[in-house]
Amino acid sequence: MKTYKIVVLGDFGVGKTSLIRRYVLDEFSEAYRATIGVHIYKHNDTLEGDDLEVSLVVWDIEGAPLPGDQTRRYIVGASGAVVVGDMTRKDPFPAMWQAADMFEEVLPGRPLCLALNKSDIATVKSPETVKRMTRRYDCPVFETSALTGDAVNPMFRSLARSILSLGL
Amino acid sequence: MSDPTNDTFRDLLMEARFGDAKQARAAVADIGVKVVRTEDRWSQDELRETIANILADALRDAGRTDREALIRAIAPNILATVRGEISSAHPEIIEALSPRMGELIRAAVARATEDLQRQIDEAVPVDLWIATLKSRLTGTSTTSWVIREEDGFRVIEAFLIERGSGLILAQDRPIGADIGDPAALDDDLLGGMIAALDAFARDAFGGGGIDELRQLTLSAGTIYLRASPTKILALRCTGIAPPKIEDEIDHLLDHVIRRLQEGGEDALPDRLLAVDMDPRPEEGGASGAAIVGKVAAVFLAVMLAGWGHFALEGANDARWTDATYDIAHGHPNMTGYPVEATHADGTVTLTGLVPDEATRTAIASDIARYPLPAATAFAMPVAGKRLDR
Repeated sequence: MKTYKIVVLGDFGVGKTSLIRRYVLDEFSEAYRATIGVHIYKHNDTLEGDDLEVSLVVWDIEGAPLPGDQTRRYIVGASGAVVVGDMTRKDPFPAMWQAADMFEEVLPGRPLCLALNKSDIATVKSPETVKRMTRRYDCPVFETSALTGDAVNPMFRSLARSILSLGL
Repeated sequence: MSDPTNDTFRDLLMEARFGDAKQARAAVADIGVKVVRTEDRWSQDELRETIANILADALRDAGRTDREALIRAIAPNILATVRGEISSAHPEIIEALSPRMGELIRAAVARATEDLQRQIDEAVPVDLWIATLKSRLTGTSTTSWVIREEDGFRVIEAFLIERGSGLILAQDRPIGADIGDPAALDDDLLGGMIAALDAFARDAFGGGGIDELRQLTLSAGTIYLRASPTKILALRCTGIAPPKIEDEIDHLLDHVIRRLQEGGEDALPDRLLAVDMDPRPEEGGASGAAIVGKVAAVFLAVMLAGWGHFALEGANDARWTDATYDIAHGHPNMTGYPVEATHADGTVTLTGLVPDEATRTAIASDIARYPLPAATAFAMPVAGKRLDR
């Protein structure tokens, strides 16, 4: 079974940890907990259809700006990224652009996907911006909810497939 | 002094505007007084206090009505401020924390030492006298002898980790090694954690990363770390490392990295620990004569060790007997009373006479304070005080 490192990026409080915990532990914690630095999770998954097993080591990177080049250092060596935005916010996209740009700068050409999170309580306010982002980064977008679990597993599996298809 | 022409002109203007110049002047003066009062009342401190109360109420309300939003709004700023304060005020923070840290460390060390001593006492009561003997002979403390004998240093597993990703490139365990609870420490998580620490350390310590962090203590053992520019070698070990282990780990990393440089990534060793962790083997194979010589040397060493063991035991029997005699004979009340000490079957027996019961009890008590690794028996009847005293 091959092992891949995946980083989850996004602004402070957009639900990165909740998404990961939903995927890895199939649970959702109501109690918000600030993530300091980085948390590392591991999940063995089977990609349906291909009946292929992969092991994903998921790095949950703190959303608040980290000192120095720490965020970039945490990205190094990743095979793919999930960029998360919070749909309840007025304008979640600048932070998503910033995170996606940083990932592409450190690891050009690696697959990423966009998670528009909290879909259970909000809808996408600017579909045009989402389209522009998907075109710019050639990536899929998922309207996720860590609370209900909607689109969480498909998103991580889609990323794993993209990684495998690139032969990383 | 005011110009009378101007005063007259002002009065005329006021009269034209307000009808009665006197009444108008009084109104202006009243306004002036009110302005001064207001200024006095709203001094900077009072203003600050009033606004602070309003802000505190507003924050309290926000905390009650939408706590999540409040946290989201202020948490990044608080974190950034704390980080900024810490990085810009290193000396002050160290100065403020060091007394408390010193106390905590001292307390932790004292507690750990007590625990260790208790564990040793519980684990090795039978061997304690051997340690006591070695301690007497060498001048080294008993505890340190016990630790050396009980440390059981073992390499549990070795990992070669890719720097950055934390992915495990190669992994090895000594044959038959007990890895403990396999669920306690996932290999990939360990690799990720070490890589994350490396990334963190590069910023925190300024460049070096794990190059400067050579050892890590976890509940699952001690991790020894060595890094090349692209790889990290991690050895998970238990027990207390012998002093030479640091050199041996350097040697192992050097060996693995050289193989990778020579053969590329495909040359990853199947067995990381195939490199001998003990003193390095001599170059070239051993000849038949060398093997015969080694066997002879081992035989001689065993003979010498056996002879040394018996000689040592005999010498120590004599030492313990003499020590017991000295304690009894040296007691102030024993002047002129016969004393004899003999050793047989692990027991030192004192014979002779004592002046009274109290003296015999005192001698027994003195001997008990002296930690002899042998039992003591008394055959010393009370003879009464000498007539010449």
